[in-house]
Amino acid sequence: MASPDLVMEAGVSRVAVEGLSARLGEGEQERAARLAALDAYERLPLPAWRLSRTQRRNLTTVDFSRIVPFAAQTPAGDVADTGAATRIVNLDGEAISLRLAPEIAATGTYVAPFETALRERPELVRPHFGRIVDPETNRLTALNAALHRGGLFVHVPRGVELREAIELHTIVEHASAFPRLLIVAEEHASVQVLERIESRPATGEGVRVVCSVTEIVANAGARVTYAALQQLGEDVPEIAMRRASVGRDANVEFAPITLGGDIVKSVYEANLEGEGATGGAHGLFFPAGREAFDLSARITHAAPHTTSDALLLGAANGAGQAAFDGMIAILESGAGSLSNLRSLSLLLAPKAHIDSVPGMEIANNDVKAYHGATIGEIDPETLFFCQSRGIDPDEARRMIVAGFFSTVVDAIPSTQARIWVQQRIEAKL
Amino acid sequence: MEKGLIVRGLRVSVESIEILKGIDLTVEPGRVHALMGPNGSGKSTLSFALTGHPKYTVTGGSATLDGSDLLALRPHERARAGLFLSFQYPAAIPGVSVANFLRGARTALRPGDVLPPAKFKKLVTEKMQLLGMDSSVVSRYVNDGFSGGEKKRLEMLQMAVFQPKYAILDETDSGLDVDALRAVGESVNAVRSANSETGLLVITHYPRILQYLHPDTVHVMMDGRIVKQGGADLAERIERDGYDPIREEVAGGVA
Repeated sequence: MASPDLVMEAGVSRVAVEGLSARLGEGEQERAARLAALDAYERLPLPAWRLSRTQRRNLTTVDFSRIVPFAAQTPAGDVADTGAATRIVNLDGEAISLRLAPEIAATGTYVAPFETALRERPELVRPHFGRIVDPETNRLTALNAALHRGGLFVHVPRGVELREAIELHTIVEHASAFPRLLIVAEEHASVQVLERIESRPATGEGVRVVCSVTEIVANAGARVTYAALQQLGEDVPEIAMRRASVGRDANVEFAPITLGGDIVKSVYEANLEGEGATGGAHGLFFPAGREAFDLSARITHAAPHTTSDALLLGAANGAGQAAFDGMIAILESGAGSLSNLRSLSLLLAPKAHIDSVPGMEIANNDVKAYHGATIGEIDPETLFFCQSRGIDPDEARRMIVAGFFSTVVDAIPSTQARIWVQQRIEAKL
Repeated sequence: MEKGLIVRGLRVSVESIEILKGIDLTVEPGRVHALMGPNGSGKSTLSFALTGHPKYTVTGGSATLDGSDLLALRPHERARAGLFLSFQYPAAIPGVSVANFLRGARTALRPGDVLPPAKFKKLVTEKMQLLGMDSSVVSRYVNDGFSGGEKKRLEMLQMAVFQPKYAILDETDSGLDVDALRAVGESVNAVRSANSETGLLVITHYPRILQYLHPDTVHVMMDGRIVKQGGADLAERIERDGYDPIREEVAGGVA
């Protein structure tokens, strides 16, 4: 039996949500959840946009009534292979390529597009879906819950340590993307997930957006690394919400790599809920042209002896603007916790702008917490030093900026992805 | 074409204040010239003016390198013409490894002589041994977290790998203890013996590094002018008596 066709109509509507649910062959429970989220979308406010200098373009200037929820045509499957052993490629919401390494399946690990997982293994998905990020957090988490499609579910059984990263590649061409990711690492399991989000040039009318939600559950002693690399065109806004729940002695590392988009609103949160939990964020961002990024990272120390370390490197070129809001919260229950938050920013053009505001909320005296932010330009003495070694000024700037970002780039868990990031950084200079 | 690093009547200002008031100096290939003088006499200004630092404005005179007009070239072009400066305070480049920097710079300096990776590695290893450097330095970031002595050694390594026609060593001895000074002095000699055509201009406040470098000519600079020239014995005299007798001599001569 052929799947029902999707209704091609701009905007976020009941017809679109019901059509998608029917197309995916979902049951009543999923359909009802989507419709409840649609209702929340219609009544909840947008998340805050903090970049005051970018009044002209912000979340309120994205015309959601014109967004293209689905593509009319079946996507063509010409996406460069990254060589990853386990990889799902989504083009305009359809999984056009799905490769699961046999070694991974042999461990009992379950990897699938999110909706496939919801159908095949509801007992693994449902206990966590919407628990870490409530669909009713704001208008855009609700939007994702109403229209989620593509995405990824990963369940790693107790004690299984996976070496190779699992990749999800989301590409936007004719339509918007609403990826939903859920990563569950059971006790002492270990997994790396690498998400890559890109867009192709627009082919038609309407607004394409990427609106994603990622939930991570790291149970006792588990280790999860989640790298999210994105570069969208200057006509594609991105809104992303990523949150991890980190259990006893577990570790979650975020690598947020934000390289492009019309406007980008991206939130990373780690809740250190078990004693001895550790969390980190080591990321970079680089707006250029007229791009504007509003980025936040928040780490909450809710249990004793929890540790966090965050380093965000930002550069801005052209009239690119970014706000980075790093927040460390140590609750009263977080005695003996240790936290370090740093941000370094590099301005490469007179109209470029970065606001970096590291903050701390500490409710327990028995903690150690450090934070710092620096902002500057390329040191003219460093530039002259390079020139005195025969290196022309443009090449010297490339070298200095690549060096500035290297601590974060070098930690990306895939050679191919590292090169991808390096090339995009160069192209923005 | 006249061989040499030739400076004639060079006048240089920094922020409209004249620092160099007409400098004449010639460094021939393979020769060692020492430029000595008290602090603030303008020695470092000469090194930055010759290499093209944007803060220094040449207001008169000329400077040529084997016949090419240095002052018409941009800083990286001066380096490509064969001029090297060992900085008194070399800049750090976090995130850029010594190996990558050396390779990038050598490629820029000698585009016609790019070595395959294995040969380049061999060259660097050989020069590091010559300088008594630990091989782990290549994977560290350029000057990032380096001690004073390590920075000076790295400057010498660059000179050895780039093989410039003329090198200015700006206070390469400053801030070094006796052992580090000897090591740097010996490493300069090691580099020279491997590349005997390089002409050296050794800028120093103290004569002690000259025990190792044996200059052919010593120039003494005071208040933006070269006031005295002589052989290695002039450095010995400064070592013994300091700069005051020369200062009085010059003042007397003017009067």
